[in-house]
Amino acid sequence: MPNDNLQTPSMFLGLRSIGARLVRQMPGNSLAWLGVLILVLITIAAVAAPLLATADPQAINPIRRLRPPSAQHWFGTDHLGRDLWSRAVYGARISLVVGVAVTTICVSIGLLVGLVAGYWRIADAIIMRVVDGLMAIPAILLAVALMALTRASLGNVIFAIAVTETPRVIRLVRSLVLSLREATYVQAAITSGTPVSNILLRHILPSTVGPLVVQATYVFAAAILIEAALSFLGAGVPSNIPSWGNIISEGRSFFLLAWWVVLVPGVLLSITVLAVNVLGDGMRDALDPRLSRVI
Amino acid sequence: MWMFLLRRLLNSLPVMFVVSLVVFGLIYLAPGDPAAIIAGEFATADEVIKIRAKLGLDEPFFVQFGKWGLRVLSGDLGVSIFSNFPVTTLIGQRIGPTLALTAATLVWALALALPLGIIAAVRARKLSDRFVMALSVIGFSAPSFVIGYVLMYVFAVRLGWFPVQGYEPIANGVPEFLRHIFLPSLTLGLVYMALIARMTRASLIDVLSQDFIRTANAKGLSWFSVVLIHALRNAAVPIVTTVGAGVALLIGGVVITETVFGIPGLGRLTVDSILRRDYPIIQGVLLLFSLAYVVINLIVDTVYVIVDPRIRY
Repeated sequence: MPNDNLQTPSMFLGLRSIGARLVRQMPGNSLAWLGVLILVLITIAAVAAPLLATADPQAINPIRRLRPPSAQHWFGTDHLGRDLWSRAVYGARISLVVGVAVTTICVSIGLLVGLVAGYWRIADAIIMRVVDGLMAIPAILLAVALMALTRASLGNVIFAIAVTETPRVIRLVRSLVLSLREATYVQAAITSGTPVSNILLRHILPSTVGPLVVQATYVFAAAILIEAALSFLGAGVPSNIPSWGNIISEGRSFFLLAWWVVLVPGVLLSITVLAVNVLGDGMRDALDPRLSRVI
Repeated sequence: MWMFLLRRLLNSLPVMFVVSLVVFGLIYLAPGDPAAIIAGEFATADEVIKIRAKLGLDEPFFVQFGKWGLRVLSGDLGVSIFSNFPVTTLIGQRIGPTLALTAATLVWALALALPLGIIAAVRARKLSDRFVMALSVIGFSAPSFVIGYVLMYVFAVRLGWFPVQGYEPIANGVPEFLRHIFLPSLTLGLVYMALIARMTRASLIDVLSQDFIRTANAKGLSWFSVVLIHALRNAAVPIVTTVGAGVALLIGGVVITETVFGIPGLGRLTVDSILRRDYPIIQGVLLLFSLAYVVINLIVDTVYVIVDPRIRY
């Protein structure tokens, strides 16, 4: 989990040894592989949504509304008689798109800004003040405020979540760079007059990859959760898009009549995030044997 | 001690400055004309101009920020676009339930998390440890609204032990208050408890493997003395940090929990304001919550110095 990944020297591995360690260590961790399996299944569902859906996710059928799960409607129907299985399958697309997009944005910007902040003292002072300020605002509320000011769209949701998650990545990269700077080989490189760009890209960057990959899984999980929370609060993707959060939000008023409308997407959401978290923990353990004994 | 407090206090000023700059500047970050978006799709040009003037959007940025900052410092958070009531009045009306819910949650979550973390650490890799860890992973992964609806379905709808929704102030009797706040508080506190239990476990296991613990065991100290006095005190700093940083989870969660359980607090106020795009209210709540977070972490950092005399800034 995000807050207890204590950094240790053994996390500073090169790119090649990270791949090797993941392959070598992960087979013993059946839980992490279960996470991978679940994520693969959900990705297949998202990609093949048009094939897997048994009905048009938007097709309204008032006669068949609020039907419990049955052979015809595997996950039941909602208050407009829409087939929940089909909506849930399409909803997986939104969650995954948001997760991938937010993670990509956060990691690239976080890496860039974090390298700068960790290496140059003056930039550090300014950047970290901004980061501290952004992190003092509770993530969901900051995203909500951003969404209240923009039109509901998938792109704006991704932007709002990225704004709340990037500071965490900046912080991680910066702290890694700060400690790597003191490493003997980096000091030697500085002394022998290696250009700064070379030091950052060839000596420091590779060692940040391990912790960054682990952090990326937590950003991914957080992005999916915040997207659902935003939709649930009515500040997420437009309501005509069947995201899991939107399905829950619409099913809310009918919860006492039809629990499945809320719980089906809710359980799917939880399983997805669980899979990502378990995978992240597995990778962290594989990359850092010292921690795997402890956590 | 006092020097430390003073310096720490001065350090949190730039944080609050950035927070207010962000909260204020968000209007400019947003693509499109914020006044038009707040006014809604069917607003006339005249209404948009009125809202623009109301938000002070017709002046240069730093002039606006200065004026706004001075007003906020004097305790004026502006007026609601929707109802024209002062934002401070609206916040004052709604802050009670939110404070009660958060405070109750903080108390039970801390009271449970520490023993759970300690048990898990002492019995690392045994069944009870696995149970605590599994619980914490679930607490992290299930969104609070899903946990809330599951709890509501089982304990309120099926078993009928608790009311489904609603809120009773403490003034109407403690038993009624507790009956209403039980499920929301459980929903809100689960993640927080999981986080602290995990951190307690990790930090304690780290300390328990150190030499001085072996020495303490070797000279025949009781289990109680070794774990709770020697080890826990040395493991305290990361735990205390997490207690403070985790408050962000509580603050964010309160908005969602209040929506699930129909509690008329600040969270509800925020959600209603999103739907009406009533930005001054969102701004006010955002500032208040961030200030709460900064102040709580200020207190937490002070606790550090008391817990660990080695720390001197």
